[in-house]
Amino acid sequence: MKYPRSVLRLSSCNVHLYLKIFEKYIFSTTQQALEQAADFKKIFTYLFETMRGIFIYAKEGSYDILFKEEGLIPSLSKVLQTCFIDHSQVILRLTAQTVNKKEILNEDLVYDLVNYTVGTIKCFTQSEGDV
Amino acid sequence: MLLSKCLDKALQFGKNASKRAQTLVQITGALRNLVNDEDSYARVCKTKVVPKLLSVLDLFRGHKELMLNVSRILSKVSMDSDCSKAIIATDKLEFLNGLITEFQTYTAFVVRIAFVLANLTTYFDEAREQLGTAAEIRRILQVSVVYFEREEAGAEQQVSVGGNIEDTLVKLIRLVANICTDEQYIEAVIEGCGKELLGQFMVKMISALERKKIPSSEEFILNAVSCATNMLFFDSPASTDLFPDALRVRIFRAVKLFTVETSNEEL
Repeated sequence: MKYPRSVLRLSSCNVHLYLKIFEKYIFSTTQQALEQAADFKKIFTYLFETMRGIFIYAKEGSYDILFKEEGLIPSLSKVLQTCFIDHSQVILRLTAQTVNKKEILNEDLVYDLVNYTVGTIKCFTQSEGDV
Repeated sequence: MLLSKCLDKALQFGKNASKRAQTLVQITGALRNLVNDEDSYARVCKTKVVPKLLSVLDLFRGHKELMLNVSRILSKVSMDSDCSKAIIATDKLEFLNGLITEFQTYTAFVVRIAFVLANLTTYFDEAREQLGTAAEIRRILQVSVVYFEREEAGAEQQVSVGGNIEDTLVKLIRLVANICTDEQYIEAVIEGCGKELLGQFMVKMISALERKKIPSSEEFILNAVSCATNMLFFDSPASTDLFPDALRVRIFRAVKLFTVETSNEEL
């Protein structure tokens, strides 16, 4: 936890980039999506790990105000809006695995992403009224 | 409010009930933090969070962490008039009262829901109407008697039973006092569960009152005296004697000392 400001700024940038890339998946057709799925899994994992990292910083409780200063609040809101509320089905489709010709949806990925994101919001709103 | 949409989505998304509950714990936890700010009350009403929270309670009854989070949110927002109206509009006060009975050993939950119901019945006739049936009042009185017994047991063993038991009793007594402001509800109690339960409640409350001291239990005493006053208002010869003479004398003796002991005008 040496450079919290840098980590949070980078995380905000990562989220922004992910959301830009995700846009093209949202509007692609099923066939295109399948072709791009392998790439998407990597990109999604990158977002997933970013959110997990942010959550760890939020749990520390010492950097609450940094979340506001580094623009994380709108970023977290956009992740929830885009990845959960509006397009969770796109993520489920693109991260699905096929076993014996049967598509297995990985709902836990979305659940965990939401838990990290909302958990972060919960942590930094706990004591810091200004945030 | 984004978290309100998240609540909606989480209630519909996926098939894993355990993961769903875990997600709802986080969402309600964040909401609980945000409602600490009074400015958020208007948004809570606008985004219809209250009926969603009651759905969560209904769907996940028994999930202690989730129940506690929801009760904490409801207890905060019940201090606001518009949010109170939103709770009453769900027509689910009987459901909340039922949860108090069902989870009566879960003190942290009972104290908050009793606080919510007491707040609502203080200002709103509709709330008193929803809870003013014999069945609902009987439930409240029965849970109160259970808490009086827990408090009594702690007093006999001269051990501290913790502020929570007394706090819970304060809320339950306030709730009973609020409902007992109207004769029709007292009549409903007598018709539905007889005078015995009402008498038992009064005896337990007066016993507790006799043990309490103003410096440590002023809120309890204040609410108990209000409750006794409201009930005694209907204890007239015409009402075929709600309480026996011996109990009336005991109430008088328990209460009279406080009039000279305190400078609190409400007492």
